[in-house]
Amino acid sequence: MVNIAECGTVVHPQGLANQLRGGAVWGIGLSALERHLYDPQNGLPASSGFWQSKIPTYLDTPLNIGTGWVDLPDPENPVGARGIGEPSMGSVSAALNAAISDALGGHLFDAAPVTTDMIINHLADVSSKAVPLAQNNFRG
Amino acid sequence: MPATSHDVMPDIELYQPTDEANALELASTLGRDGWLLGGGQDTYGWLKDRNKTPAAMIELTQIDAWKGVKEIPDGVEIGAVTTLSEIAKHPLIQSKFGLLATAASRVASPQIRNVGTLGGNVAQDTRCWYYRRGLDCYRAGGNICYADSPEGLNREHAIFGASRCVAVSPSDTAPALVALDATMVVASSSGQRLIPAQDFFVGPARDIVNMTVLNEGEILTAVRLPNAWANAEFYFEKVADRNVWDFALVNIAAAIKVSGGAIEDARIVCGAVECTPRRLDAVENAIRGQQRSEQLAEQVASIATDGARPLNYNQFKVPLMQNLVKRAVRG
Repeated sequence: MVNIAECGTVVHPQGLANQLRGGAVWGIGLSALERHLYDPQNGLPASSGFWQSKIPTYLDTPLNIGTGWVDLPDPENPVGARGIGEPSMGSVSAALNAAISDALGGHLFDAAPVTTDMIINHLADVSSKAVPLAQNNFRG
Repeated sequence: MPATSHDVMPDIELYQPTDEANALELASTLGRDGWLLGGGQDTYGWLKDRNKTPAAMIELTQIDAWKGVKEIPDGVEIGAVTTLSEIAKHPLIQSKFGLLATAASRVASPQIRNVGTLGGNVAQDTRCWYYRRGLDCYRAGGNICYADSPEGLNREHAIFGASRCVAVSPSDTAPALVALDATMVVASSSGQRLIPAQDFFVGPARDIVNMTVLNEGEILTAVRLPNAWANAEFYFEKVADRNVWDFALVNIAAAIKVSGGAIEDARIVCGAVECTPRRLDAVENAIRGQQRSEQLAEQVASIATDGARPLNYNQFKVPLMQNLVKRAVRG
């Protein structure tokens, strides 16, 4: 996995590399793990605690995450720099979802994260019977 | 739920016995009020959420007689407060009962395995999130199941053996112990009883508030692994959302004895599909006498899920379990 930023003039290369790696880990969580579920019948949040809302662990992320940047000054900013907080996870999240889709012959879940149960249901062809969990929102 | 302050730790009497007799006497005297504390990895979650409020705790981890791995005439005996890390790394367990070493190494995370004990891992409470939240469900003494309802979030719940409660056994070592035909050594102040691992776990039809046969005043002190299943061909696999620090969606432990190319005997057990580790007798019977092969695996996989009754959100456990059986059988 390589995470590359087009974020204007680089002010602090080491800080940027760390930002890109951290964002990559977060992006993996957004695409594959971090569900937020709500029980609408009883009005209960079901993802309280990290054993239910699962942030990635060391073994859920690549051993090495490469980083890179374009280093082209942004003409609309006095110092030529741009923010690279959130963008660093969006790229990885999109790439991972695209990779999952590609591995499944182009199937799109139209949802994030894509969790283990969704992939198994799709591959075993039980997704028509299986009700998908309403993730990160209320149903309906 | 009693109104308690979340700011301070509730008052708990802590007992730290250093010998067996003292621990058993405390367990007998305190009865229901005496919470048995191993590594605390199940306990502290309950306490932190203020959803269980034991009056007293008996810490078992200072009793040396219940620690470590030793050889006995018929196999190996593992003390119940031996840590999962020690079991996973122990040369004797690795060489003869690799199934248990692998299962122990797949529990939670390294930090948890360093303090979590074998006894605690098999006797831990279910992870049904409604129950863990402290709701008044059947298992907590109430008269409703929140998970088995039209809107209930039951992705992690049972596909077999539901009886009002649909919670599952969360343990990774329990299926391995059943597959290895282990014996649980249970002591109390009035003596000792030996229970086959398979009978140690109980489902909701028999006892809806407990997951094991342990009575008040009883303590699991050791687990014995018989030589009968030493060095068999083993297979363990755990499928979870994460690779570390997660509970199984389904896990499988298989011990298969092969002689002259054919399967002589087998014990195959799945976890997280029922309230107890589920022994797959029908699959075992179907593969006995056969050659381990891809074709055989294909043939028997669907037998494993005969009678499964998935809930709204756990359909995926059926194909997942079939695939794990396939992988265990083909070798």
